[in-house]
Amino acid sequence: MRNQIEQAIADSWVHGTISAGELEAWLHSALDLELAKKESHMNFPLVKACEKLLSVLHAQEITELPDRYAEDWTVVCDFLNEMPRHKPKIIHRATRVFALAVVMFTLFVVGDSLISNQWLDESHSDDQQQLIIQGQSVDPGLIVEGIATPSEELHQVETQHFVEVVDFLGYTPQMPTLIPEGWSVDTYYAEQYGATRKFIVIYKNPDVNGVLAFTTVSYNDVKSANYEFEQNNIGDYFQTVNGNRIYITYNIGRTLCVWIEGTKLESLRGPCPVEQMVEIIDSIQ
Amino acid sequence: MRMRKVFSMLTVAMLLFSYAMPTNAQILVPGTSIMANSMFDGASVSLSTSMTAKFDADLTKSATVTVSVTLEKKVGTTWQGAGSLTSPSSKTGVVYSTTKDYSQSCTKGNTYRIVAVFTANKESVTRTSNSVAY
Repeated sequence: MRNQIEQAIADSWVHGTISAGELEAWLHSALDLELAKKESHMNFPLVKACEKLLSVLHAQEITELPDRYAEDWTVVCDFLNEMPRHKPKIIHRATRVFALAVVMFTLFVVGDSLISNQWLDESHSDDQQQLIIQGQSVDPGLIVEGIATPSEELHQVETQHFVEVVDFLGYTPQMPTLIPEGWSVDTYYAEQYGATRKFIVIYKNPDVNGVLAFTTVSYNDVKSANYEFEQNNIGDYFQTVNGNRIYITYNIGRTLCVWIEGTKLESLRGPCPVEQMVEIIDSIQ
Repeated sequence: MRMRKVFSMLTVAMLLFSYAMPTNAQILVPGTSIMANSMFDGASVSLSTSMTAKFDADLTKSATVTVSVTLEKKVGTTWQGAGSLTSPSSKTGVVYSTTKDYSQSCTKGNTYRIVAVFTANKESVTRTSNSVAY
């Protein structure tokens, strides 16, 4: 995999999909790795090639490698591919496509964590009676924090009309489209506090004691996320048809389902069997 | 002698009975630990850097929620009680959400957190906020 990624970096530069600055950073790290080795294990042609290419990059903004450095570039590419040195390398179109695909895949997998430097984390209280959801964040130095402080004014709406919630939030929130017989929407609740938006649908059944509630909390800044659910004991995880990985536990006669999508915390709570709860979750759209 | 044995057995029986006696919030069920809470699905309290507290609670059924709040101040590495604070307004429903400004109760240069006890139908949950350097 490492070779594939390195090949992808090399190819990407050749095709202009990564900048000279990014290539320079990679050459520096490759050089540092070699220089950290014992002299007997050092790859001198690679060191020389890296140094020469770096000097070119330092000297001028280049978008295309001058012909006279082709040999140095070959040395680097050979190293990347662990091919015998000085052997002509033919990069087939299929390989290029594959390399590009690897870059795209790597960026897809890793890129999100580089840009989205915050997430929600699950843990349990010492007595296992609470599921704790807390925001975690790292500062990769890529994102400069804004100076604007979100308003600390709490805005709320509680209504029986979905359209009022849509007006309040400014978008149509997702909610279950399948509800077990006997249950019906009692109230929609939405709020905005700082950078956090919450949407709750409360269902009631005249024959059942206790409500069924679907909640979505969207945290733009996870520092404010600090919610604790009540539970009998540590629960289990379940994969729904829609691909959600759901934490399922119980609170006396109630089933509690909690899942996290990025910085969005969602839950479904109610006195329904777990099979029904999963069906409801799978119907959310 | 027999009376003493009977008395001892009664004492043991009473002790066992009192231990296994369920309360509203704690019912022992085989295979599980104590049960959680019949009134609250969850709750939270958070504190902003300007000392505004945000209280949230989700109830299992409609009820009136009251919240009692105490302030804690960090002294060295330990938290010390710094008195009780004015409670946020109580509300009736299945969603409890409100804010309260406590900046007047705090002195700049200290680190604080608050402890909130949410109560509904005589059942309670306790939550501790994040700490804030004010």
